[in-house]
Amino acid sequence: MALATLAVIIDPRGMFRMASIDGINAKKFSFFQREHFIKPYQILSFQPRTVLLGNSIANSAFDLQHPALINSHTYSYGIAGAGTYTNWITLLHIQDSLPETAIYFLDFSAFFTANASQSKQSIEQSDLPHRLHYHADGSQNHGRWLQIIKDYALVLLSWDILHDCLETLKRQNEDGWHLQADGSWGGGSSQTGKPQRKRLLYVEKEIFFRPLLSHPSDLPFFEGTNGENTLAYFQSIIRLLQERNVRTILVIPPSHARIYETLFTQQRWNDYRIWKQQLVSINERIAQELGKPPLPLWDFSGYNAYTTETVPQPSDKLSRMQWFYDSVHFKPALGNKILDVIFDNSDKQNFGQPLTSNTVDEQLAHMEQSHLAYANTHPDDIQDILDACVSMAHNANQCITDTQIPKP
Amino acid sequence: MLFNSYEFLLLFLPGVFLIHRLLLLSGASTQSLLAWFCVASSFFYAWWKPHYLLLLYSSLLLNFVCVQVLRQPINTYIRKGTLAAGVAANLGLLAYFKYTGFILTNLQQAGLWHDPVPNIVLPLAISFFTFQQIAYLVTCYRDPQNSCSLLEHIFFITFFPHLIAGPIVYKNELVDQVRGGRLAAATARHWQQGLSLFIIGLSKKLLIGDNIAWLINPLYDHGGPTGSLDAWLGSILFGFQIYFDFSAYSDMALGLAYLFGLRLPINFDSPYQATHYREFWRRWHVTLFRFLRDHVYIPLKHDNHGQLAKILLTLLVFFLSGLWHGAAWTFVAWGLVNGILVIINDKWLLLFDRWLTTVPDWIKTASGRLFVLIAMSLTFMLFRAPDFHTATVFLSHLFSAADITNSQLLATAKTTSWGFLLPSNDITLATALCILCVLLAWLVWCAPNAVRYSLDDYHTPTTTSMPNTRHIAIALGLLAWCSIMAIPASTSFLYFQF
Repeated sequence: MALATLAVIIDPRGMFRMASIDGINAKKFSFFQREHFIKPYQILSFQPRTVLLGNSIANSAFDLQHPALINSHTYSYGIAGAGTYTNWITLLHIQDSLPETAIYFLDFSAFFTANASQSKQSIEQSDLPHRLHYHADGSQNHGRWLQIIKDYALVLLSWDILHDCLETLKRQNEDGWHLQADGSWGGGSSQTGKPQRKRLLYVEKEIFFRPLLSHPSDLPFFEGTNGENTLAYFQSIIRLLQERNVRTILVIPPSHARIYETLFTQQRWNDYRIWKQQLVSINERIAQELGKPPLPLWDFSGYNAYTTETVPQPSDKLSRMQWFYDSVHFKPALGNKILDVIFDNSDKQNFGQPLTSNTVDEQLAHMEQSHLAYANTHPDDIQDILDACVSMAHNANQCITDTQIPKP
Repeated sequence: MLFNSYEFLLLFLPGVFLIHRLLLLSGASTQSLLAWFCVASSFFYAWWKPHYLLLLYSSLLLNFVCVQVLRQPINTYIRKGTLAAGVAANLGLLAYFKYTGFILTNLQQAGLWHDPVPNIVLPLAISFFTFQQIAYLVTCYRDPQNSCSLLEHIFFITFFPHLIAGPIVYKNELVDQVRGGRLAAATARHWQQGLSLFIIGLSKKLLIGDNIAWLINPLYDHGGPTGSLDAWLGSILFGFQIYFDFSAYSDMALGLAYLFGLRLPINFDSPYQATHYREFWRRWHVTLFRFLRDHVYIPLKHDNHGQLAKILLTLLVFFLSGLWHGAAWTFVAWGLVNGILVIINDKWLLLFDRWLTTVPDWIKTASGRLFVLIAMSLTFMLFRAPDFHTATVFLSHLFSAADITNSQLLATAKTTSWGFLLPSNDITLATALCILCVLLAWLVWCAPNAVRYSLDDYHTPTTTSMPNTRHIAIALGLLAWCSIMAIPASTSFLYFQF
C-alpha cells in the first residue's frame, strides 16, 4: 500500500496526472525508453488540438511555447526510436479523437526496416500493440483491458516503479532530459556528458551504421525480410490524415551534414534519393485519389549554415554546438526557425523549401553538389565516418573506406 | 502463458484452483476433474496463439488413433508399421516446424536451395509433447493393455504445469496417480508445500535468473568479449542463469502439480552438486536423458558391443540432445562437446580410480564440483552464443588480458536502474561481480534441493524438510512479494523456446 501510494503521489511516469510539485515530481526523468508505455495513456487524457508526430526529434527539437503552437494545446506524440510502423499504430490509437492539426516529422532513419527496435516484428512482440485502442489493421483491440491492468500493476507495484520514484525525487534539481506534461522533452541543455564529437559518432553508429550494415543488400532499405514496408505505413498515415481532414504539415527535418556524408561515402545516397522521391510521390498520389490538395511537404535537409555547423575537435571536451545535440537531434533554437518557416512567420533565409514532384530532383541535385564541396573541405568528418563504419562492421568488406571525392 | 506473468498468477492459477476445489466439493467425478484440467490447459496453451491449439489436438488425436490400432490383436508387422508411422508422424511434425529453416538455410549456403527460406513459427511445447507421445506409443507397442482413454491421454499430455517446458512425463507417471484418486486427495498440506515450492521457483527466476540475463545478454548479442574478464564472467554467469532459469521452471512445474495432489518426476536435481560429468548429466534435464536412454541408447545397445560402440552411442545421445535443444550448429556442437567430455571424464575416473581413493572426500567433492561448474559454464557459453564466431571470440579471450576498461559487463552493470548501489570504480565493480559468482556457487553447491526440501513426497532420509513455521511463511511471503514486484522486467524461460 505504501509503495502504491508513493507511486501515485510521485507519479514518475505521468500516468495519474497528479499535481506537479516543484522539487517533488515536477520533472519526470524516468521516461527514456518508456515512451511506448507512457504516451498512449498520456495523449488520451491530454486531448490535444495539435500533435507532433515522429520520433525523438518531435519531442526534443521544438519549443511548444512557440507563437504558432502556444495556443494550440499541442502534444509531442513522438516516441524515441519510432519507425513508421509505430507512428501508424499510435496514430490509429487516437483516431477516435484526432487533433485538428498534425505536424509529421519524417526522419530518414525511421524508414529503415533494419532498425531492429522499430521493426514491425519487434514492436509486435512488445507490449505496445496490446495497450492501443486499435490493431494495425484498424480493428478494435478488445483485449487491451488486460494490458491496462498489467500496466497499472507495474506503475503501482514493481521494483521499477520504486526505482523511478526514488530517481524522480533525487533528481528534481538536475537539468537533464525530463518528460513534460505535453509529451515534449524539457531540460537537455546540460553541458555535461559525452564530448560533442563523441555524441555525434554515437548516434551515427547506432542510428545509421548498425542498421545499414545489417540490412540485406538485395532488399531496398524500406523493405524487411518478413515483408514489411515502411513506405506503406507512411502511406496509410497520410491517407488517414487526409481522409479525416486533419490539417497536416509534413516536415523533413535537418540533419547535420555528416549524416548525408555517411550516405554518400557508403554509397547509400540512392536510398535517400528514392526515399524523398517516394515521399513526394505518395503524398501527391493519395491527394489525387482523394481529390484533395497534397499535404504541404517541407524539406529542411541539405547543406546550409545550420547543418554544416563546425563540430568541435576530439580534444575539445567542453564545447557544445549551437544548433545540434548530435548528428540527428537539433536544438529548439533551430526547431523554432523551422516553425517560423512552416507557419510563415518570418523570412525564410533560404532555409527550408516546399518539396513537390517539380522540385525534388532539383533539391537532390543541389545536395549532391553541396556534398562535393563539404567533403573536400571537411576531411576530418569524412575520416570519422569511415572509422565509425569500420568499427561497426563485422568484416571490413562491409564498409567502403577508400573514398575518392571528386572536386566540385 | 508464462508462469511469471500477472495473468497466470492473478487470474489463471487462482481460477483453475478454485474451480478444481468447487468441483471436488460438489463431488465431481474424476472424469469431470480431468475434463476441467483439459479445458484449462487448452486455454493455457491457446493464450500464446489460439490457432496452434488445432495443431496440438491434431497431434493428440493422431497418436490416440495409433494407440487404438496398437491395442488391437493385430499381427506383428502391422503393429510395427503402426508404431513406425506414429513415431515418424511425430518426428515429422517436429522436423517440419523446428528444422525446416535450419535444413534449407544449410542447403542454401551449399548452393543446393535457391528459393527464400520460409519463416516457420515454432509451436510452443512441440519438442515436449512430441517426445511424450512417442514414449506413449512405444509403451503401448510393448504392452497393448497399457493405454488410457482419450480424456486421460489429452490430460497427461496437456497438463499445464509440464506442458510448456517439461518434465517429459511417461503416461503411467500421471495417469496411474489420477486413477489412484490423487486428483481428489490434495490436502491443505499439498497446497502449502506446492505453493512454497512454486514461490521458491518464481524467486529463482525473477530475482536471480532474470537479473543475470539482463547483465550478460548485451555481451553475447554484441559480438562477445574483448578481454578475459568478460569471457570468464560471461561464461560462468550464463552457467548460473541457465541453472536458475531451468531450476526455477522445474520447481514451479512440480509445485503447481503438487497443488492438485499430483507428483511429477524431478527434472532438475541440483546438477551443480555433481562431482563428475556423468553425474551432472544424470541430474540435468533428467527426463530428457531418460527418454533418450530408454528410446535410443538402450534399444541400440547390445551386450556384444565393445567400447567403441558404447562411445558412439553416447555421442549419438548427446548429438540428439544438442539437436533437440535447437536448430543450429552451435547446439549440435554443444551436445557433442558434452558427449566427449562425459567419455573423457569416465576414462579419467577409471584410470585414476585407485589414486582417487586416497584423496580425502571433501577434496574430491570440492574439486569435482568446481570442475563441473567451470566445464559446464564453458560449454554453456557455446549453447548461448548466437554463432560460432561469438563462441570463438569467447574462447580466444579466456587467457587474454582482462581489458577491464572496455568491459561490456561492467558497462551494462553501470546502466542498471539500481546502478547507484554499485561501486563506481571498475576494479571494485569487477571484484563485486566475481564475489557474486562465488556467492552463487555457494548457493548452488550448498543449498538443499528445493523440491526435496519443500515436498513431503520427495523427501529422502538424507534431506532436510522445510519447517512448518510462521517465520518460514513470512519469509516465503516476502519472497513472493519481491518476485511479483520484479515481474514487469521479467523474460520468458530459456527452455520455453524448445
